[in-house]
Amino acid sequence: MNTLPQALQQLIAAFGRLPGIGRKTATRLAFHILNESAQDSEELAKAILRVKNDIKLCSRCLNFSEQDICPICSDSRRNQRLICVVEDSQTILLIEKTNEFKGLYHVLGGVISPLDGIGPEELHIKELLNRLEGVEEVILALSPSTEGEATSIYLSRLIKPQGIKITRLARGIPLGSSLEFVDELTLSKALQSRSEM
Amino acid sequence: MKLQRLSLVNFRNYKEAHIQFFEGVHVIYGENGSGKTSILEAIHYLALTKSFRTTNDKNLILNTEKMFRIQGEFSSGQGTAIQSAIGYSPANGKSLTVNGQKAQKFSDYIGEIPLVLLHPADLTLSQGGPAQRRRFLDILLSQSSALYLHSLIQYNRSLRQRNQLLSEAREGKCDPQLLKSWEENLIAHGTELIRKRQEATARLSESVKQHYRGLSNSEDKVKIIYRCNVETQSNQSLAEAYHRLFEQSRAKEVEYGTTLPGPHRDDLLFLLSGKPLKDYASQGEHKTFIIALKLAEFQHLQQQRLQAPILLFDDIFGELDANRIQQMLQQLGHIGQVFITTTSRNFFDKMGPASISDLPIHYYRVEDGGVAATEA
Ligand SMILES: Nc1ncnc2c1ncn2[C@@H]1O[C@H](COP(=O)(O)OP(=O)(O)OP(=O)(O)O)[C@@H](O)[C@H]1O
Ligand SMILES: [Mg+2]
Repeated sequence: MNTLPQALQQLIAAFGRLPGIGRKTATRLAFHILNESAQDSEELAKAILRVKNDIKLCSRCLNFSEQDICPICSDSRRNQRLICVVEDSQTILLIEKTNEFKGLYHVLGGVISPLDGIGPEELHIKELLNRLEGVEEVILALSPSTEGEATSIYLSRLIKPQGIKITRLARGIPLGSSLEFVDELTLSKALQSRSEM
Repeated sequence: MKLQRLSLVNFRNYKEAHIQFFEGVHVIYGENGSGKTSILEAIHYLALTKSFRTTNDKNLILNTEKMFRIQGEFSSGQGTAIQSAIGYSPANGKSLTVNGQKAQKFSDYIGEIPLVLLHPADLTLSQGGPAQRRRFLDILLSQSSALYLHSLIQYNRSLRQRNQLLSEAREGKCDPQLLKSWEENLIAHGTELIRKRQEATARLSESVKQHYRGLSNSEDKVKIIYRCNVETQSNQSLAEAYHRLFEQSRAKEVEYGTTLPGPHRDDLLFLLSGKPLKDYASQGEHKTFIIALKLAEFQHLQQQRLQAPILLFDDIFGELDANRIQQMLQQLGHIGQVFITTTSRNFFDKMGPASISDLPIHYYRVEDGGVAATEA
């Protein structure tokens, strides 16, 4: 028999639905909240609600944003003719950290995977095609999985005929690593895509 | 490659076992159902992260237990040590540790411990269906090239994705651009598979021919041909032909709901004096051919990996006479390590305390999930 009060059971179940959290951790988190001050809980609840109420998708690039147009899209110093296509917002964080990319982004929201029921309509592909006017180059920065590859091929089939340059991230040897420690597959791929000097 | 120590926990009918191995031949004997094959299965699993008897890892866990674990200490020809451990539980899946480090991708590891298996099911290789022959090539090539294994995994995944699209297309939903995108993916990985398979087949064919002659003392010529359903016309590249075949097949593919062109439907053709082995050869000739093929596999891996693979012979005395087995071992030149299971050690006893092609013999008695090294 489950002797826990129903409110607590509900909270445990809610935590349990979060990624990477099992029943044990969910229970621990719920008890932690039960024991902490009312003010702390209130702040947590508010933060969760604010994320849900105030954050929407940028109407251009579909990145998370508090404004209708996100700070990146509205920054006129960025190159408007260059769009980097990514799977999710987390990839934008990574690329921004490099400080090397000064164009715009477009968040697809995933990759095509028929087995998971994800087709082009489930992704923000139409939105991408609608913002290509004046764009000179589209960089595809999708993961090197089978699905990422197929999505890249699909996008280039749609975009290339419009006379826009399509590129994708190079695959190669991690910088600063000795060849000795590079795995065989990475090395084979790097050999295949070697470049002339 | 040499396996020096093997530990099993909750694997098949073993609660816990620790076994030490040496150079040379290991004869593992015991009653039916005592656990002989399970030892070879554990070695195979450790090298290739897969069983040769089941695709469902749950079957490998001791009856009511929740996980199994296999650990092994190997030393390579160059003297470097490899310690690997694989654990599996339905709850947490499979995890591999190599030299104390958790391996992220199994494909980086497969091939480190080259291995050749001969078991009764192999004797239908020349008589059974094409899937078995493709599997033979895939296992051989996955061990010799990381790029092959990568292409194979990606190819199979793309195949399932495209077949899903095709079955949806049968219900009238179909984006032709989408279908073509997966085709390009299949072509990219498929041409890689076909090229590597063709190359390997040509080399195997030469080597099988020599071994067959040595084993049979006859002038009969054997030959292996890779039969690819993507046929190239003159001055047409493989990728072009592949593309064209897709164009021609698409309507039929939608009707069948499955991908037709590509290496997943290729085959190996075995010929004896120019005639298909399948329709022509005697039982004895089939057996001799399979042994020649296994010898060629051994040699191929030895050349690619620059060391002798571990050899596993499971229960082949019922199928092969002692004479053939001895001949086979003699042809292998420098064998590192061999593991042989049998219900009776008669054959080896008859040979006396001597050895097979100068290799020392070690005996292991298996009794109901326990192993003990015994006196020669
Ligand atoms: N998951 C499991 N848990 C417990 N026992 C198992 C499991 N899987 C198989 N067994 C049993 O383990 C025993 C050993 O099997 P194994 O195939 O290793 O025997 P063997 O010595 O090779 O026998 P044979 O000479 O008949 O080939 C068999 O009795 C088999 O039914
Ligand atoms: Mg057996």
